[in-house]
Amino acid sequence: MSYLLDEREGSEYLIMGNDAIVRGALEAGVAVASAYPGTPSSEIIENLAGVSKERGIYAEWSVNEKVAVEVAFAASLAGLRSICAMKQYGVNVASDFLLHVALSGTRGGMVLVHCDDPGALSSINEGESRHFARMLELPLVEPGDFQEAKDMTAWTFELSEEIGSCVMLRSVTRLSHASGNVRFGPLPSIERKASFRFEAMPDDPRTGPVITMPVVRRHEELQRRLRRAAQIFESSPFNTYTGPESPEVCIITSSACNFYSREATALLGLEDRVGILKLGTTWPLPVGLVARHLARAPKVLFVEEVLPFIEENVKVIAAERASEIGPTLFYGKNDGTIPMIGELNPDIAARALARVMGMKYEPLEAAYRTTALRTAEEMAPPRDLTFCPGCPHRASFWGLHHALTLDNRRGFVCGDIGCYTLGFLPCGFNVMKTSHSMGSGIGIASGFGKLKGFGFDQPVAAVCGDSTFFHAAIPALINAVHNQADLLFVLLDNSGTAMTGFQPHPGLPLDAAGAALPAVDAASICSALGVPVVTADPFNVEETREILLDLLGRKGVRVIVMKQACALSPEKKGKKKFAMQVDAEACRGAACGCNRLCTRIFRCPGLVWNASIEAACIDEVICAGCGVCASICPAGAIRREEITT
Amino acid sequence: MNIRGQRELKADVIERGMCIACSACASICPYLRTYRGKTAVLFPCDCRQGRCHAYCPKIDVDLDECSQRMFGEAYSPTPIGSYRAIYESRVCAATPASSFQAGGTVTSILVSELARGSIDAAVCTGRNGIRPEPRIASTASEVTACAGSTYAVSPVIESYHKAKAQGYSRCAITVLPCQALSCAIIRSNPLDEPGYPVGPSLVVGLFCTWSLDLRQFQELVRDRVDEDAIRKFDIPPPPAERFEIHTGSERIDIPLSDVRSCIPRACEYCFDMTAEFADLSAGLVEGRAGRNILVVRTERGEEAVKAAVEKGFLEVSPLEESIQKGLFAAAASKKRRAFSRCLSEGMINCEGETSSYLRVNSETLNAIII
Repeated sequence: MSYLLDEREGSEYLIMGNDAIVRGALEAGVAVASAYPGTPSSEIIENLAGVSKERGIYAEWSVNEKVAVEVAFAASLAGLRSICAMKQYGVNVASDFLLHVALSGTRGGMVLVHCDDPGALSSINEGESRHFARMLELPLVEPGDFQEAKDMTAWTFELSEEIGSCVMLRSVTRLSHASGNVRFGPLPSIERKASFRFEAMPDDPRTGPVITMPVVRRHEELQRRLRRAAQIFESSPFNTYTGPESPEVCIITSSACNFYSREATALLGLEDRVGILKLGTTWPLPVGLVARHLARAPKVLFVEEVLPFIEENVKVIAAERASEIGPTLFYGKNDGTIPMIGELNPDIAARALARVMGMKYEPLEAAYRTTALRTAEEMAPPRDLTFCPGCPHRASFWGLHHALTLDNRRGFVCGDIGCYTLGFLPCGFNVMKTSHSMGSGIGIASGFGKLKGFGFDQPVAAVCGDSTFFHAAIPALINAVHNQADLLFVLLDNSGTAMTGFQPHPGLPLDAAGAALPAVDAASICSALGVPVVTADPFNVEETREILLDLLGRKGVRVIVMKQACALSPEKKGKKKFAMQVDAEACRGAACGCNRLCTRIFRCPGLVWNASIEAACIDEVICAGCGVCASICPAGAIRREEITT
Repeated sequence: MNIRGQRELKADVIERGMCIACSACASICPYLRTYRGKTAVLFPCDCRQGRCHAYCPKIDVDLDECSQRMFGEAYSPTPIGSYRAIYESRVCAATPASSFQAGGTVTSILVSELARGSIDAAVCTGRNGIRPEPRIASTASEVTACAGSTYAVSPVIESYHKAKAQGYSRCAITVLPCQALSCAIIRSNPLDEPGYPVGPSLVVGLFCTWSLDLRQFQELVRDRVDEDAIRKFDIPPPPAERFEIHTGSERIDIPLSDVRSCIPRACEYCFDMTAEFADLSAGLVEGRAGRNILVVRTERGEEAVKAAVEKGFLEVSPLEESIQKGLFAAAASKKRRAFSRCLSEGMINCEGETSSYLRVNSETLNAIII
């Protein structure tokens, strides 16, 4: 049984922030959990699904974030507690529906966990989802450590029910994926009954039909809910202050920046001179509480990620309460004391605090820094940002590169979101020339595909993975078909949401807990649009290239499904189809006119250049046995032998 | 010859619009391929010198050197290059019947060579719709299936390399003039490689005034004819001014001026109408259907013609003087026009680091231009 189900109250575990959130939801008696996977949020629904049977929870990987919120919202309307998790750009996808959720209000407690990724460690933007709370007019809370991640999650369900609104709970990578000690509370009983009541008039939020009209009146109710939240936040135990009564500087911080602020203060030995106001409820801000703290310090330093969200909202309070607060000097992102991009860390926080305090701070001796950098440069082996050995995307991009280059009309690929986003790098032979949000590759291609009348004569291809296809690509594909755009749509079907850890999607016959479900066939959906659909195996290098060349020469929308499972997929992991070997005699090494096509251009990590014998060789430890490199060696020196078991 | 690598090939030939996709550079290295009449550079290669540059007929070709090696003399100032004999020719009884473009001379000689075992395969050009498609023919029927002209460059040299890789050691090849020049260079082992293979066993050249850009030509005929139904192309003698497409059931005419708009830039710099660096060259006799002009240039060519005539594959007769005059005039005109253009654009006998297209002694150059 999972430790997440430990029923002993007070038992303590060293756990990841995302698991603390899971436990919090379990302690709140959550009934429905939905999400679309996205780092750093994916473990939340994954682990709730893992205990769904024992706890009577319905957990699903939804087709996209908007649908995930809709699924969770239905549970709320039926009186159940629901949780919905997503990464920062999931909120963009879900925001259309969320705006209406805010307006109509909720019934059972509904929590939206959104995990931001400052520094974009696993993202292609570092967009901040906190600003949505203001725009949507939804309450926002931010746990400041691991215990709070658990406690605040459990509490937000109560808050949601008390005010009748969905509540946003924001985490960041360093909270979701770091670990800390968490003391567990009790687990409730799991008897629940779902029923949607709609007998009363629409103006009854508990038993009437749920619609957003009349809008202005609903909006008024929404703002009343928000004022109630602010009132509750005034006395919330999740807003804490540590430090002297009258600090020289008050740091205002939230989330993981709480750690950095504490460490910075300690590093500089300023515990007696600097106070830290850690805010757990960051929208709407508790005005009275904030004003009281502002009045105590002549200087305020904001330490937060990424944009000046708290900073700007606090400054509004400072302006409105100027007479009671008095003159205050503000330091933060707007004056450049703290960067407005990337992740923060204790060093950045200490440097900023030292500047505000007029102190010198040098985290490392200059000589040490230089030596460390030089040593790293000299000793760390170079590592490409690349596809795994045996990755079907490498083979697919190899085919696309060859076809587009042979076609010779400056064709290009519009990319999308997944492991294959790396297609703009040498590992994807640089064929990808645009990459934006999920599903946008085919949408952008649809636009390019209509520019013929302006003299545009380049062939356009769009790639997208199987999970992304279901998530957001279908409407754009329909758009392209209906408007008769000229494009080649390449569905990179690697049988799962590979980048985030192989969560199932509608194309797979599995639910979130691994039980059987009917799969939806992506190729059939494309066929139903009335366009030609071809299926190819990217590992059949030459055949795939010829198919691509033929398709590039045609007009209108054409679809090719590149079908080959991810090398790390459950069905393949650890199993090699081919035993690979380089015939060192046949490998002409440096003398080969190809000048190391295998290890200079193709560059699968499983194929390495052995400088001592001047020949390529297979790294048998990591080679996945896909056999593709046997097709690319001009000398035929790479041999493959099918492994029969 | 100043041999360099892929980078210079790309800059001085491909990006200048001088590449005709003759395919001399393709398939000998994994980075260069031809597709639909264009050469594609798949990946950059950083070799300073390569066969790709060495074999290219559009960059730093020393005509005197090529001529010296092939014919034992400096580049000939005659309009049709060096030659030993010139005939009128046509197919004879021993050659299986086919839909020949004119006199069936090329088919007859290749079938004869296969029959006597002096070659084990011939790389010829068939047609796939509108596209010329190189084929490795090792039987008489495979050769005759390739009869007829496609009016576009076929990547036969690429197929020649493939044929060799497949084990054909005595391979003939049917080429356009630009490709004949490549073959002459290939035969000369320009990089002085040890153990270098001998090159094509027999190079049969086809007369050519220009070829067509495949994509443009395809666009031109797309709405006029079903590509798969095409049986033959033809250009009747002036003043017809039309390009004929024959299908099984009809003839579609396209104004020759429209077709001429599909001529690639590289052809405007081509000086060679009669495939001067082939062992044998064949072309049409204007106004005499079913006949060819046959130019014999080398001992190997002479031997092939002699054998084909002796065994009844081919019939030859002296070429009428007036026809020869007409041929010389047409060839001289193409040569003069191309050399003048190249000279005015600084592409001949360049000094220093600038790449030349052609190098030739000044005496011959003056004789051609005047």
